[in-house]
Amino acid sequence: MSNFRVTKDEIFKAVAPLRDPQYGKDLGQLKYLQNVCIQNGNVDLTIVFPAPGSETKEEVINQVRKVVGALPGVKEVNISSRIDISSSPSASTSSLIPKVKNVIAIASGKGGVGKSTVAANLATAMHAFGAKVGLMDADVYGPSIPKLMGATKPPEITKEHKIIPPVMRGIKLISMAYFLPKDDAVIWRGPMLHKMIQDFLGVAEWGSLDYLVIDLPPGTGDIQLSLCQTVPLTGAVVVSTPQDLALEVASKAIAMFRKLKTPVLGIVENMSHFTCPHCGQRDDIFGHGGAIQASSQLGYPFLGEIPLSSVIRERSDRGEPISLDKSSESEYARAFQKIASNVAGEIAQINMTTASNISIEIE
Amino acid sequence: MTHLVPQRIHQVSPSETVITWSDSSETTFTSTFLRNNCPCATCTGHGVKPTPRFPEEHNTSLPVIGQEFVRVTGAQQVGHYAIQFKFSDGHESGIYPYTYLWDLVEFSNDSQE
Repeated sequence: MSNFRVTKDEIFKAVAPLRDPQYGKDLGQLKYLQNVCIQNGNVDLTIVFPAPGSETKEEVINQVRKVVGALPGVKEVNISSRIDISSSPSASTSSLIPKVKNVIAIASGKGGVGKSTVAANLATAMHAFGAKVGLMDADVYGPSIPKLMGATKPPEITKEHKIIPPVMRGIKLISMAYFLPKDDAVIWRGPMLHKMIQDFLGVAEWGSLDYLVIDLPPGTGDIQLSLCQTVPLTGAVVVSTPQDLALEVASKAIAMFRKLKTPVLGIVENMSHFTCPHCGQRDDIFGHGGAIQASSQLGYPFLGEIPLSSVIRERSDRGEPISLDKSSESEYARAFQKIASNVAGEIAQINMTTASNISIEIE
Repeated sequence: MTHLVPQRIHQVSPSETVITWSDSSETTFTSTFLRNNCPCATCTGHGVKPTPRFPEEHNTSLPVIGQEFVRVTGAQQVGHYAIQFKFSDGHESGIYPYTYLWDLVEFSNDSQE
């Protein structure tokens, strides 16, 4: 029996300076350590991660195990981990969706760059990480989320005039497509769009969610502005293809978010490159790396790239998001999972640093 | 001033509203001043950039009748970028972006010197 007795304080002190490389912050700041329990030199502790799908999770656990195990008086270290998704400080006050922790807008300047595909796959990947996710299709002109998710069952409308979103693959969905005949079109002026955004947020029963992913129409118009005014967005993901034409327009979307003080979580490069399924030769149809360059120029994180592939298109048309692909071979599924992990990480970081809401005391 | 965001908005008297900024500094606005500088399109004329002015200054925007009696009756945060004030005369369409509030602070500081 050794004479040393380890204390909780010593454990906290030893662990505090370790770093989680994902955030570049030390564990003391991140408040990772919980439920430290010491009995006869056996240490039990829990590490709480603020975001799901972390790629540095194992590394952090191993670091803690090593450091705590090396303290004098420690015989054994048992580490359990848990994910406690952090909530945007502004979440609670938005009266429309009080139980939604984080709201993510998927935006682009130009149309046709794959916003909806990214939104659907981001939502499914985050759900696969264990998060509670909702997906709102705010693209009234070209609603495509139900098709991408294979969700044809329309929402229920209750007697109290609440919309109950259908659940597909564990994700709650709302789309304009549910409220229009297939061949009809939305031809609306601004105030009606504003009303639709408010209904989709307030009248729909989202319940408690970790992430609400919102698929925006292209551009910087009424819907984007309404959304930024109606709920404090946790952040926006900007999708672009790599060519200059698309990137120039993407920077306009970024300028809009900057004006509206909505944090930009980062840029995703879609249709990044094409590998010929016959000869295996790689072709950069729209160029390559443009979004990385743009993100470093504009000072925003690069969230990841997705290749151009007919496999993604086929799966999208069938309503089976590729990020659900379980086969470890699927580079496409992995690409989306990586983006989801990065987005969750960026959100956790933003939630650590943003100030909370304004306290308004006027009677 | 720039990059500060409001942290607290409260009233010290029925006619005075105080904004506490993220650096703990405070600005006191009279209700009349805020109402008169409403940046909404109806008050400023469509397409005109609102510029801070004194209540007694005459310009092309709509006159506020009974402005000395107007009170702030409510405020609401708009997204991450602005405050919407409600006034006792029923006007509530003015969305005051933080950038515009900074202009108002600067304007009232300059005029005091």
